[in-house]
Amino acid sequence: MKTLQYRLATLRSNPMPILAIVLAAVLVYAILGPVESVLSAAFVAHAGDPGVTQLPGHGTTFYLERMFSSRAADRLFYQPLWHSIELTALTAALTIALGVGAGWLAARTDVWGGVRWNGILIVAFMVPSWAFAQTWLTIFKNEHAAGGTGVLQSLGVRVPDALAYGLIPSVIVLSLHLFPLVMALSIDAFGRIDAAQEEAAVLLGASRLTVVRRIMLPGIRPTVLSAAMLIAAGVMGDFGAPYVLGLPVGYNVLATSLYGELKNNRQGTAAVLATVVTLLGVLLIAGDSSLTRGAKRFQTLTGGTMRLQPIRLRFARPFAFALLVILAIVAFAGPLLILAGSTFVDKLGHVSLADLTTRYWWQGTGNRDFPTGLLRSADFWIGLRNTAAVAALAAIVCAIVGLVAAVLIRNSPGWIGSLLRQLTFLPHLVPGVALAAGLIALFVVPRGPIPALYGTFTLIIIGMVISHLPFATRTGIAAVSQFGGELDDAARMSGAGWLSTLRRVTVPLLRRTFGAAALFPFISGLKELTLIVMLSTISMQFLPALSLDLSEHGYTQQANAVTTVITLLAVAGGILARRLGGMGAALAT
Amino acid sequence: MSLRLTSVTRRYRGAKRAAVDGLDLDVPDGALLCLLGASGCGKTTTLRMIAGLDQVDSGSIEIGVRTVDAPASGVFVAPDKRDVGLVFQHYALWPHMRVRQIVEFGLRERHVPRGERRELVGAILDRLGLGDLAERYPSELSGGQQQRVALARTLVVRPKMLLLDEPLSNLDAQLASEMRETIRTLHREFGCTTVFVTHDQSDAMALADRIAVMHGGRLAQLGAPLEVYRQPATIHVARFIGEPPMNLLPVSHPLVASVPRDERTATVGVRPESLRLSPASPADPEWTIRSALPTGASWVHSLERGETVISAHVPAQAGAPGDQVTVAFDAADASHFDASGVRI
Repeated sequence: MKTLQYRLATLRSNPMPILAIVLAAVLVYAILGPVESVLSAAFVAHAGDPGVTQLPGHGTTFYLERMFSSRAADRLFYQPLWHSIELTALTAALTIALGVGAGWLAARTDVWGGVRWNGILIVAFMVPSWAFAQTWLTIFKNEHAAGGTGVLQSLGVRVPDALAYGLIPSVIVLSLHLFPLVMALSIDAFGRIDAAQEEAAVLLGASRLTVVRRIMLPGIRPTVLSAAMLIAAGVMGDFGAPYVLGLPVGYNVLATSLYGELKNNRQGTAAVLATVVTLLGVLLIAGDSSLTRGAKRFQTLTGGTMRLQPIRLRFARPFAFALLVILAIVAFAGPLLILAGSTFVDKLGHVSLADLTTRYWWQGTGNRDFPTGLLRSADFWIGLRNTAAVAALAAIVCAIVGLVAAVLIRNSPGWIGSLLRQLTFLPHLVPGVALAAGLIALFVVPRGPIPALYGTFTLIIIGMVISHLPFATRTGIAAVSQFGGELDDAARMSGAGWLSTLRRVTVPLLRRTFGAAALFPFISGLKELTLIVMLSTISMQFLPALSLDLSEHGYTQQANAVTTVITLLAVAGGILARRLGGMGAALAT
Repeated sequence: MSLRLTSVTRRYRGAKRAAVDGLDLDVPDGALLCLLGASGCGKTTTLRMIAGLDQVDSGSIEIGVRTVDAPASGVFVAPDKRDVGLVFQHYALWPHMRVRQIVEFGLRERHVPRGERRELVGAILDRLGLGDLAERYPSELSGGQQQRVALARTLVVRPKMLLLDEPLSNLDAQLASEMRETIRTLHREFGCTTVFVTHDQSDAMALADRIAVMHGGRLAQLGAPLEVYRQPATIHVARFIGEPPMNLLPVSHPLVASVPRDERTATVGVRPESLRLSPASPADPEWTIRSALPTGASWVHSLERGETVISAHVPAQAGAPGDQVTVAFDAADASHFDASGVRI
């Protein structure tokens, strides 16, 4: 039996388990705190809600009834729920179809370019999804939205609402944004199928079709199902694209209704929605991890060293190539061109040399709301500064926390290390909108030594750090395990204490990976919309919020100019991150 | 410094059986001991517990007169306070430091003055033939050079005890034999108790003055190399040591029918080189040669008779595959094991 004295002696030698427990406690508060306050906010009467009979602070089932069984339930809950399910399922299906299809062409056939296509198409993932959505409106908007009509209608093509707003464009926009992830995953899965497996089947007399049906598809099925779950969880918590595309016709999904309820200060019903969104997220991630566990059975079998011979497309080769080129045009080249191009023409739909103008960028249009050009507008520069500063600070904090967590996890044997690891992955389960709702509920009032944080930059930074923590920890763990614990052990064996080991070996080694660990949260922070829009107040200016605001008021081209800047920053950063070996990084979120 | 392990047990969370299970080991001062065993037998865990990088669950470890790990009495000495040096299997050289800085590391931790530090580092680098490489980074060194840097880093602080984890397994044959020589001379020069871990019985035989064979987390046998080879304490040791391994035959087998035995004998073991082969007369067919493979100086034959297959290691080829031979040996060369596999 180990005595207390013995445990103290081992902790004197390596006190990291204590630090791990401290960090775990902080994480429990920062992650479970918001979840807990959302849950409780759903059951406690809030001041100023008409219809609540209980006094503020007392328990109530009013919000549950209102959401689930009142006359308004259909509009407030069931319709958004159905829309969410519809959107999630269709998006997952289309994403998988595009991703696996493109992945198959790139990895398994002799199409020109091969797997390099993934590096090209991944740009679509770097463009924020709500920027896609704005581009969609730029093209398809009809007279039912504020401001002028889109390109097509201006050219005289009648665009029906169903094509301009709501479900169909949301599915298309989100799928084009997300499919490169599935593509990368399936290229990886195709690569892991051992050539011998297919060849063995062919030698046994299987036809091409049988090989595809019985060998290839089962081989990548775990990857595909897992990807579908992760995509679905992402879509469920995504707020930007459905908001931009749904607003003109009142199309609501759970995430956007949650936003609406919060904006109208109905915290009780918002809490019910946030709880439902979180539950759905947890279900999807739980489904994924049970699938991934099942998939391990497959992986141990394939030590595949033989690369598969690519399938020869013969006459279909140019067509396959053309298909990928079209995908690249539709998924990012076209949208980017239209997004940026729309800011240089006088009016959408009138494209001639005479119409080229720089007034959206410089001279200004002279309208009341946004009189100057973007580059001469103080709002833009303040927004850019705020966005960059918040993203940078959050990224730095996130990278530090992630690396510290990784070091503590490695140096804390037993349950302490695994507890900490699981805690850092917990934010995965909480969709962005629900996290934001929770943070508001938690920090709208002072909590002990922590002042009320709602409406401060600090809260936005906390939100970003929490939401990027799983990624940062994963990067940290990868970095830490890349160097191996033996380097630290070697320092101990050379006579260095734990602090000296940390100072002279661990930190200098990790300093090199710090940039990579911080860069990706930084890019995500730049284009982050959900947390910014939900956690910022009117007085705080951020570029994504500015763009959304302009777009809502019908200033499409000004909004597009702002979005163009963010998109260029995000894409440039994303490409830089990949250059720095962040391929895994780019896939991790 | 002597080393004593007393009923040391280490069980990892969730593992079915203990990695190290009641291990007793006594290593006299100045010994060159090898921990030998198949992978997963607990030898590396044992080494890490001696170093202090892992903790015992129960039992105790003493280095010299000092107890360094004993949960029952609440003693645990940190790895950096044990005066033990460890050379890692994959060397664990810090990639952000130059060779000189790596070797200097331990001296700085011990607050050795700068001038003396330079002298000591220079001396050990020259001693190990690394004098020209002091300003290189580990990534600019070959595997053999990296290992010598790891040795220099460990030896420069004059540890009371030297631990080596699989010191020869990452080297090609020629480098390995050089390193054997290096370890042996360093051991003589520095005179510190040395414990090394290997899974390779020929390394153990060639290098150690004592071998501790481990099996399933326990000590199977501790003895001088030839003692372990000639008088294996268990069937397991007999199987593990020697290439090809000892022939093990049930006591009822005709080949060992004439060997004197006592009533406990269940298995009789004979080393392949103890066998003598002679051509069999067609009237007296005994063993059929399955294969005859030259090792250079001698021949290894695989022989079969019914279900039984044995190996014979003899100076000259005894026949071609398919030929019949007669097998003989001196009864005194046989090992006897009881039903539980323990030597009688």
